[in-house]
Amino acid sequence: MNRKLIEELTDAHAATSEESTLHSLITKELSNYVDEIKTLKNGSIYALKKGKPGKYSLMLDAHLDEVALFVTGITEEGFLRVHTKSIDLKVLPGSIVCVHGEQEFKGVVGLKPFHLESEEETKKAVPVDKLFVDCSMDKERVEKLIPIGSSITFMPGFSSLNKLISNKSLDDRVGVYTIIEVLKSLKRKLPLIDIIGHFSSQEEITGLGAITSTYALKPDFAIAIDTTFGFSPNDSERKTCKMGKGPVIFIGPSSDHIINKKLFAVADKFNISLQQEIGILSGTDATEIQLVGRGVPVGIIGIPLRYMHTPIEVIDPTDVDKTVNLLSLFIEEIDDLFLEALYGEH
Amino acid sequence: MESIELIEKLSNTPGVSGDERKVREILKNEIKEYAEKIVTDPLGNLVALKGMKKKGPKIMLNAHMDEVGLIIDYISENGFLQFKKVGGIDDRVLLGKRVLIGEKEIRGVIGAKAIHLQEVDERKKSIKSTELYIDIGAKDMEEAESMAPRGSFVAFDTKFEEITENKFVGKAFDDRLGCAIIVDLFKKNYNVPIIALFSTQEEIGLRGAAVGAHQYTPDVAITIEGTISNDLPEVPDHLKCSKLGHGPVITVKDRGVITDNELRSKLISTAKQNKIPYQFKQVIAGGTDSYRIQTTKKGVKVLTVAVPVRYLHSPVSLFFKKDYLNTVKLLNEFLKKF
Repeated sequence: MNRKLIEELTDAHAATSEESTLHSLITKELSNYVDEIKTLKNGSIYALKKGKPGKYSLMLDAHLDEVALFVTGITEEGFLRVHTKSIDLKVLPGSIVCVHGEQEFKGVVGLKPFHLESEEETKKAVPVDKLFVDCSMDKERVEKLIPIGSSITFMPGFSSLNKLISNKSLDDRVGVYTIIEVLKSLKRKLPLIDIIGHFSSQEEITGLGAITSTYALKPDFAIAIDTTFGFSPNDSERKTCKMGKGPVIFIGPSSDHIINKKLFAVADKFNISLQQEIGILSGTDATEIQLVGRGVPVGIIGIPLRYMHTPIEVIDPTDVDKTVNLLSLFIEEIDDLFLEALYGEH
Repeated sequence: MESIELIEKLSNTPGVSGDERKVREILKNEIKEYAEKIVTDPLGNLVALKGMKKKGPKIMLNAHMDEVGLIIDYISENGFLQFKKVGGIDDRVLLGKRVLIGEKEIRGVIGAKAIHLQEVDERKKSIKSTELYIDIGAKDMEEAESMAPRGSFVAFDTKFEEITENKFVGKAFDDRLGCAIIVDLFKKNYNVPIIALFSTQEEIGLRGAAVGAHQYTPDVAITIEGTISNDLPEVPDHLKCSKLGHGPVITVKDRGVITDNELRSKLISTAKQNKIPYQFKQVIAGGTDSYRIQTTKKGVKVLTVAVPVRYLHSPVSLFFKKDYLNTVKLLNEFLKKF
């Protein structure tokens, strides 16, 4: 695994709607490997590797945005009031966050001293309307430099836990990383079909990037690469998959069985271990991509990840390497038989 | 070393109660060329002496080296670590934090269930520390045990930094700020004997200081602390304990002591004469080593002076440089009066 790239990708900040911060890094990484890179009005960016003319196109999708808080108010003392729906509030007190105002500021999510609070109070998670961020500036200065609506993201802290890797926003920068590496692996090859690497905006809120880019790019089929729940204590084995046991194929109404069948066949042929997640809707961009235009067949590959939506998400790099490998081989193995089956079916 | 540089070094160093070795080494190196004698006692307290032949009252400057943290007490089959708290930590600040474990400072994270997998009422309840676990990426119990054996101490992994001009965040400001102040003062010369006591195990019952003043017992002792500020939104003024930016915090009474009235008056008049801002600790809570020192042998006159700090005992606390400098200034002027 190219640890430097995954570190760069996860240390960068891209709250939902502020994905353009990642565009230049992706362009820099891919410009020597693809035929076209373009940003879109929706905040997404895509890279196209051309295949043989007249054939189909496959869109690989991963989202750029990360979970965030937004500033809703400023107190008399100059503390920020905040709002979020996608973050577990319990991880916030006692942490440092990055506040994206006129410039980047750091702030502390504070908590009142517990010996001055009732026992009742300490048993509850601090509700969102009681949370505050301390940037240690007075009200006047905060009002000037941190407008209401500014985004707040977790403080990065890329680190190795034994052989595992931990940082904020591995959801879904590991997906972004995977697509970059897959496109790089195609450098000297002419794939049968066009391969579009789509790095989407606003997955964490509505899937705006996935919906509108799919309309614009009109892929014939798509595979979303996102993270999924890796086992940790306090989670049930039934609801999670195992770390280090390979990519997870989503099985259910929101994924296409012909794509899934092909993924399993490729994994089988090349001896890549896979896991399965059974569900109804996948909770990824794929759910939205499927419903664009006349409809798009989609597959979903999940990379196991612990502690999703926290500053300390954890992944096993071997799962990421296997996912890159699986997708590169999948692209090589795309043949007329598969396309006919897919086309015939739809 | 400049004060802020030293505070940075002290703050970034792990020293949970019961394992203050790394902090002690830093302090020893900082003051050795200024001390006539340095001793480490059986509890690990570091005592440094200066000007012991001088006349006048022997004055002790005291701060504790230890910080709150965790200790590993259980390793699960699948290689996750569980822990006890060492000192007073709010369970609510632990979830989702980075930590450093043991002598080799192995990295770990305190795991948190994904919000998507939580029931509605799980989201609203805080989680008891006994239900939390640390992930060090070990594949099983055996590997975990070899990386971080039971009994390993755990400190928060927080980097000291300047959050905005002259305002700093980091861990363990309680009481590394006190340690740094003593180093600053110990380098200066006064007319009286000075005994520096850097104590251990303060956070688990003021234990080091219970014996720390036994061998070299002073006439007067000043305990120097990082103390609670509760100057936060929605807190009534009389419950703020202390306020950042308002100068050194002088204790009249806490849970363990009433400080010496005469000395305190002298300290306050020193502040007034030198136009140094000061404030009184407002809430009668907490206790410091000064309780132990006050009750040593026939008794010692004590004072407690502190730098106000927000979010004490959490992974990230905050202080203002001007409060630190004013505390040094006040104590320096005060010591000059003897």
